[in-house]
Amino acid sequence: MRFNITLISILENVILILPALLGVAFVTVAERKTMASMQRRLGPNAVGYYGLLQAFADALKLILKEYVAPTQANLILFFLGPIITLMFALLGFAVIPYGPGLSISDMELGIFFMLAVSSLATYGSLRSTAQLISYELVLSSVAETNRAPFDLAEAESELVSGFMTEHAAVIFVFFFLAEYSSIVIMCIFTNYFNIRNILINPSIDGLFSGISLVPCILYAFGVFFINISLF
Amino acid sequence: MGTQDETFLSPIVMFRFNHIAKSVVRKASITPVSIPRSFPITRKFSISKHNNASSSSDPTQEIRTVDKKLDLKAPTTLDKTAHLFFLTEILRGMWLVLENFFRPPYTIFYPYEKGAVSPRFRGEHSLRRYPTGEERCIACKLCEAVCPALAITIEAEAREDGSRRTTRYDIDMTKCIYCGFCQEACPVDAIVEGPNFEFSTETHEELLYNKEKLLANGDKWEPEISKNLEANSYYV
Amino acid sequence: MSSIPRLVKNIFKVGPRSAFKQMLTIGEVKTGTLVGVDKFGNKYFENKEEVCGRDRWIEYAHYHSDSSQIPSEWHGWVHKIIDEPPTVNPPISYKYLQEHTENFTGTPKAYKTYNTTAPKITAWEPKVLPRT
Repeated sequence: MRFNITLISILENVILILPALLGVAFVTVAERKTMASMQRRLGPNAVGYYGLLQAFADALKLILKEYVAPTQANLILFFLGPIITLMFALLGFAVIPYGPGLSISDMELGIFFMLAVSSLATYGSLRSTAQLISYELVLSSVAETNRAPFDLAEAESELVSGFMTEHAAVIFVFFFLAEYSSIVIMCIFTNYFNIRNILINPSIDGLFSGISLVPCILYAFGVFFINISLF
Repeated sequence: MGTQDETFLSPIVMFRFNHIAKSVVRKASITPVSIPRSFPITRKFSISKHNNASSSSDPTQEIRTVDKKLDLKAPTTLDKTAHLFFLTEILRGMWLVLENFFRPPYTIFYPYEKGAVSPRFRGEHSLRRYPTGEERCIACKLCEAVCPALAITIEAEAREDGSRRTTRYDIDMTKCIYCGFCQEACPVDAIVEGPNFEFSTETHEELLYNKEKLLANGDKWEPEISKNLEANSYYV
Repeated sequence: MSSIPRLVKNIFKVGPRSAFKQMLTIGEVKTGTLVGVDKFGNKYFENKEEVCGRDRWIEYAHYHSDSSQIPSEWHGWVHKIIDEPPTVNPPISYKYLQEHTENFTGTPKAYKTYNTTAPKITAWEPKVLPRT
């Protein structure tokens, strides 16, 4: 068999993106369960055991829905927007080292690439741009993910889903996945900055070495915790 | 008195500004100034007396004054600023959320655990019988008259033995507002709203109850209906 | 009321099969006294140390459990209208009482409304006389 470099790279990307999207799907369930526990509810508990498959049920429902586009909208841009958002949100996974030397692209300036891409992935128009300028800090990764209390772009409590109002069905799934994958990426990103000199160096040994995933989960919990308590 | 010590220490400890205020008040409290309440307490918004907005009469006569003590534990401006600066309110809110995170949810798992219901619950209707098995309803049509939603339709005829009984007793359960007027109006306790609330149906026409269905409901739910009526008999 | 030691203790007390069933239905493993079994086989449990509202629970006989399967005698106890279960305070029994049925909606046994009176308008039945 001939060594087909294009096929191999496509396969690499698929092998990366599928688990990443699966993880993002379970992060949505984790967020809903965390939020429910903090509000002394149960959260999703019917689909699958302990509600674990709720994300897939939601996605299936949204995919089966009819899509609606505004009459005066530029249809190409309207449908391209969420796709671009999701693509940039997923681009951050390309530079994460999963093991020693195991990543899609081993960049020199991977951290800066992640920062740039995650800035692009935060969507919205003037609102989110203004917010980005105001809160562009490494520590405020909550602001970067457009969650409460920095959810000026979406403003769930004031506007009806903000910019997502017109988007339904599949493109809404894209927005949803982009939002949660940017949370995942921000957690991994914070992990690289904070614990590399204490216990283990995830930027050399990779994300799956030792306990370096545990702080990621704690950061995700922190994001949800801040989001819920400051809603 | 320790007022001297406190005034001495207060420049060192910043948050002790409070105590200066305290000591000042303590000094003042040696000779209390009492405000005489000679004027009568009147209703502020009297309907019999006309009050002008302008000072045609003395407006202070209308105001009820309360001699309020100075709250010594009230936060000072410095305290308030410190709380604002260090986000203590937000931290307290987050602590509350974290406390509730480790507590069990309030959820009742419905078909397996069910919530409490009053014995006066007004649920699905049923027509009751006497212990002999004779139906109670005498077709007086009081329930039909009192029904605010016009959900009940009654037709009556003489039975073979000459007694007055209904031939039609229909309740449109989709019209019914479950106000309970029918069971209040009934002189023979025939129509009651039982404790059952799990009679949802898939179609509309299943909820158009006729006499046979209502009697059957009564025959099924009589053990509980009689107990609920017994529990309520002290208050009737 | 749920903590991990309590969960493990209760799993050992009720056995793995019942524990699995309880985890699927009521979301945790509870131990309680079996207050009674009704004529359909539904089991009624009580543990007063549980959270208020969750101290009485039912183990349905059928897999396709529906809350309308609870008969009239037990309905009041489950909903906390009465304190004594029908095993302690037996319900009245009349000759005319019917067997309790569940809500049959969506099945062929579902109730269908009909007229209980004689028709007031009789249809005209044309009779054709033979031609002479």
